[in-house]
Amino acid sequence: MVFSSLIFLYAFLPLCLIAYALCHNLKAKNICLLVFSIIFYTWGEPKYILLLIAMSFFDWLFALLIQHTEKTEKKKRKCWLTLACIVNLGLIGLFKYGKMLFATVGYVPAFVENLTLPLGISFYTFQLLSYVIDVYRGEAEAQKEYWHVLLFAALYHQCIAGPIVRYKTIANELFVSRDDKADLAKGCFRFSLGLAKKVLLANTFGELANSLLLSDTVLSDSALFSANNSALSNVSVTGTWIGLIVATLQMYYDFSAYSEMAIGLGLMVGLHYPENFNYPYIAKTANEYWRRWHMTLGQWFRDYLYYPLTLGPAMKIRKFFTKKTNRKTGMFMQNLFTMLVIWSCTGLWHGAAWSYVLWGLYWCFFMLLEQSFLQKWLEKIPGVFSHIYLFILLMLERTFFRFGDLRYSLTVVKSMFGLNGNSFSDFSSLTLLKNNLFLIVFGIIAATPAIKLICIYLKKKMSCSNIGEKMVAFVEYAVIPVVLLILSTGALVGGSYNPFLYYRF
Amino acid sequence: MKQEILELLEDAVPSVDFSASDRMMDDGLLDSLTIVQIIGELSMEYDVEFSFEDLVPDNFNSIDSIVALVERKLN
Repeated sequence: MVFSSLIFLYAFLPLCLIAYALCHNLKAKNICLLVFSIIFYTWGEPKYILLLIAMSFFDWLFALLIQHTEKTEKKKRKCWLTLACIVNLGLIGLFKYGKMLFATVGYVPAFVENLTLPLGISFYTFQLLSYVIDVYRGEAEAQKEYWHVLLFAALYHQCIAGPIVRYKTIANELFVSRDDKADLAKGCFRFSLGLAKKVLLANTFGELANSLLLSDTVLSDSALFSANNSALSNVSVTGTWIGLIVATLQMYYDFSAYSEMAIGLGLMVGLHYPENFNYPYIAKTANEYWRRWHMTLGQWFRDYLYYPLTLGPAMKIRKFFTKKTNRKTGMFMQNLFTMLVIWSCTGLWHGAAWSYVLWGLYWCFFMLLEQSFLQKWLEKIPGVFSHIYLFILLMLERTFFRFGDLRYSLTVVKSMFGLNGNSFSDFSSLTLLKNNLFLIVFGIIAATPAIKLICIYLKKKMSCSNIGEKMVAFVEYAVIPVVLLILSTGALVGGSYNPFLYYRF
Repeated sequence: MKQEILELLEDAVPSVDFSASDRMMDDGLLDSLTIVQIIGELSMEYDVEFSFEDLVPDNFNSIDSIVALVERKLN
């Protein structure tokens, strides 16, 4: 069940909200959320609900063991933390990376071959790890109740596709006190906005991208490799660029919409999840782009991997190279080591294949270049050139991310520059562009803060009087959500294309 | 010692004005990369080790709090 499905919109969510409203205290409300979360997860992944339950149990246990060990017994506490990491990373390693790792050594056992990727494992494993590490660092109290940890991990708002919520961020609202009425209207607004982004924009851009650059289903069929590769090499230069641009828009609207819906669902019950996107496509550099895209993943890596690495092994590397060479080399080697590890891990988080490590290193390379000298250069030239630089980086990256196979990526990169003997433009691509020009332009503008700024301005203008203020609130919290819901429902009833890209993580 | 550390950090991280605020970390003037740079410089210069627990605003909000942190480490 995805948020943008009729069954979720017209059965699951109303039932959950009604049951929630009937509960009178926090404990009952949380039990209600847990029951609905378990139903939600089981609906999509009946086989692996036990894995989620078991992982939550282990982390509940390890956190308690850490807390009950005296702070002076550092080794023992570290031992429990290490065990927790081994269990969490071991399980995600087996289920997500098992096939990849065994294939590397040339033998994949039958039981590994039959494993499928558990829904949301990359998201809830990171959340559970944040819980145990926060307890180890003394930033959070261990939960005495097991079901509290299960609720934190399984909460249907963010369990399967983020945002990755750190335990200490949400613990107080989830288990101590929360005002679940104050932001109900705002929650409905954010949810409807996310829904419309997903159904009206992401799905439409997805269909356009598929018509130009083949669909995921066709591309993932290895038997069709030759036919697919030949089809991709025949797409005109214009068609390839339009296809990649709409695929880039789909990627943003798909994922940010899901985060927006999750944030809205949280607000409906008084939970404030962190924002996950901050207009990434207006960035001018790779470093800035990654500070704006999937921010909660970046923050997770910063807090739980970047800092420990930099303060530990990377610092040793710095000292070593400073002594052997000079201070500048020492600093560079420290940064290089940390970035290589972080971006290899970011790549692997996005996909269980070595090619995803390459994808991570692609970003790492440009970020290191920027940190060394490129950013200073880019700051000196007009901003438009920096945008063009990032645009080209994104287009090249999308050739990989969309196709997931380096052979396809190479073909598409060649098609982008007419190196496959493909024509510059073709009738069907131009017709598709003409028919969807308004939508594409709107999609590009809506990916910037322009619309938000206009709305803020209008809101400020109209809110001068009492009546104006009430009218703005009525439009924002009643008219817009209802209109967007009706439009999205219409599109869902009429359309059959409703995938969700980040499900595969 | 304060002058020594100030000179060291101004040389290593010229983009930061260490006298601009006494809430540098709270105000977001120091990002993760800059903090790591500061720690690296201090760690190299005074041969002290820092842990994750040290990465709190109280230790990096001002040049005085940074000096106090180094002094604690040296003792």
